[in-house]
Amino acid sequence: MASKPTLSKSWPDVALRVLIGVIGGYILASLLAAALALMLTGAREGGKWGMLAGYPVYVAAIVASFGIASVRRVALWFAGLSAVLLSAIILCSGALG
Amino acid sequence: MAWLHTWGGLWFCWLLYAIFLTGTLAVMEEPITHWMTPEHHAEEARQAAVVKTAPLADRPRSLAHAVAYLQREQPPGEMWEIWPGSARHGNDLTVYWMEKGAYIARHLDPLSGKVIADPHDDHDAGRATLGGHHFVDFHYTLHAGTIGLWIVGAATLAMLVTLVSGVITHKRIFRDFFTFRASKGQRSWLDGHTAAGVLSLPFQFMIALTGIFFYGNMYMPAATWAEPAMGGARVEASSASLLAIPDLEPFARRGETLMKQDLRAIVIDKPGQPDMRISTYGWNDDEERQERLVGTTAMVSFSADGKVLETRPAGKMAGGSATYAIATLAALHMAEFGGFTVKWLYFIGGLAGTAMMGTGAILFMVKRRGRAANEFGRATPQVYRLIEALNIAAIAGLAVASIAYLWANRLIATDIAHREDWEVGVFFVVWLMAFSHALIRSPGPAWREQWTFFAFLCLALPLVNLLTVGDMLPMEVVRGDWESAGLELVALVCGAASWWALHRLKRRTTASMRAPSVRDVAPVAGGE
Amino acid sequence: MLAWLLSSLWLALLGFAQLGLSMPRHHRDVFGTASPPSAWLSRLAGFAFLGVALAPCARAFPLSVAIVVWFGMLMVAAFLVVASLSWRPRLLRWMRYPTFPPCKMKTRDR
Repeated sequence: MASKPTLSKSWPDVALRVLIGVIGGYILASLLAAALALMLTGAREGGKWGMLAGYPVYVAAIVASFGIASVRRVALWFAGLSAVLLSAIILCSGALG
Repeated sequence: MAWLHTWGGLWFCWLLYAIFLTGTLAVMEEPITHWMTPEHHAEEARQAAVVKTAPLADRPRSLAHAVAYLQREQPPGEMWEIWPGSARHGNDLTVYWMEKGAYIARHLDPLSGKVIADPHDDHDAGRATLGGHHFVDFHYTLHAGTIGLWIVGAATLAMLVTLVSGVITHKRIFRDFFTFRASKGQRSWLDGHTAAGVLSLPFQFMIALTGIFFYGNMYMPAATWAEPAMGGARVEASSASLLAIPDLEPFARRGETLMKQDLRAIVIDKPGQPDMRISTYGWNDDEERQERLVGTTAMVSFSADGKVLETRPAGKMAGGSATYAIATLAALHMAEFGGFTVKWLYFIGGLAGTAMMGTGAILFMVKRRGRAANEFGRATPQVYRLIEALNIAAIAGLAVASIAYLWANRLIATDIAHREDWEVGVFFVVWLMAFSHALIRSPGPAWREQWTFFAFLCLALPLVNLLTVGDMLPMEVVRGDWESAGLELVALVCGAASWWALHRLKRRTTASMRAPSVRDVAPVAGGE
Repeated sequence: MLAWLLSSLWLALLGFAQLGLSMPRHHRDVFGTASPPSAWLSRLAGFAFLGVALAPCARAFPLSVAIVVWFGMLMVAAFLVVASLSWRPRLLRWMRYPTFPPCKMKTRDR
């Protein structure tokens, strides 16, 4: 976010950012919440921490999707973080035995 | 980032303005309800006096009546709850139980144990009204149930995003911290917008973030889905071998000693089962409610043979730190602690937030009034016109509708059916009329006329009260009824502020009358 | 109770006034000269006053509630200082720390 955004104001670009921010951010925050819920199982605390952490992450994700200069990099960041969280969920859910 | 702030802000600012203004009024729910139910003033005073002087209720007998009723009338289910009443909190006896997932209440006569009508059910008497709860309900559901919750949730998220992007866009946040340049057109609107936001920023972040957590699991259910299923299969109540319910008075006395609070309620989980659990809950007195963020009361649980299973001091709750964090955040939002000091501070913070939304919306148009940015191609003038009308209806129109709601309370006949719906109806109809007015009239006159109407409604409110109910401000003050007096004083202050702003504006526009193209440069009213 | 709240508000007002007056622009609006005697000292005093404003709140309420009230007081004080700088800047000349109470005023009083 440090770089001054050289945001192109063309509609496809902005629409893509909105899409990535709103939907990608939601997925990212949901994955984080689910991962926390699976990691901290005692007394359902994990689900609550997940909920508490999810919203700031969602807000940060939307802001970041406009703060990072290139849309491609935004998409890559989101995809990478989602992959990390997803693997954490798979590991914690016991699907691998 | 500026794009995000401008457009994310614009599409949500009208809704957020409405949520903030009604939420600000919701802080004062109790005084507003009090003012809107004048028929109950005498009754409230009488009850307060009675409660203070009433003899202590015969609690052992009340508890025995309640248990007898529940054993006789109700199948032993999951939970019984008994509120025996006490000297300080009235002598009513109420029992509750869960039946097919629903929470059911019966009121009993503490002396005879017979079922009686709810002694506090006086909604139909006098003036049926939602009172201040209308504002509470509107600010988080828009009176639209679950759909409203989702809309308000989206708006709250948009507000958080806009706040963050606003702080990032604002490059001179510290150097311009104290800067407000008045009477300088667009400059002043920008200064006002940033000052309102920056100076109250902690409050705005707090209120939006705590607001979204209330239904956080509904908007984002992933965490609850991922949670491993907890709790075993429910034990079905078998009526074959029921234990006797022990005498509750000893439990109540031990509970009071351990809780260091008066007894409010006794809850019996799984009544008659071997793992029956008897819990006592306390009352927070007024002082305690002021002193703790989280308003839970003290609790002690016993097993049927009198062993202490769990104690919880007042202000704490079962569960871990996340549970407590969520309770604290909810308490921060609802401002039920700290008495009127905190309520007034929240009121001011809410007004600052409302001003931030309003000035932001106006700033968008002020920037474009002189020099169109043509964001909407050929349709730009029409879209600008619509935005201007929405600004007027959202900002001035909602203020008019809110005060009209109070007028409706005094003017609608008291014996009409569904009276409370009529009051809310007036609120919405007036708001809709304000929007039509803003569409028909050109922006300048529309702003001025709506603020004039607002000033009139505010300044004449005490008069309406005098003519309809016969109560007036000096009498309220003499009586010490500061809730009613406060509401009317706030209305007078709002009316005076609006009138003063209009007066200043008129002086300024007549001064600049000689200048060419007045219509383009004439500043638009909106209060300063 | 009210006394504690008012003293908290007063301390917060002093604090924000110091911070405002440490800036050349606002110093000029109030005193006519653009250079505050010591911007650094002024700023330090400002933050100190803002911090100390928590103490009276903590006398009136338990700490958890006091912190909420303190934030509220800071907000109200900030609005009042901004309003004063914008419409009645001279009101703030009583509040500059390094030379407060103002030396000039002192001689005039006598």
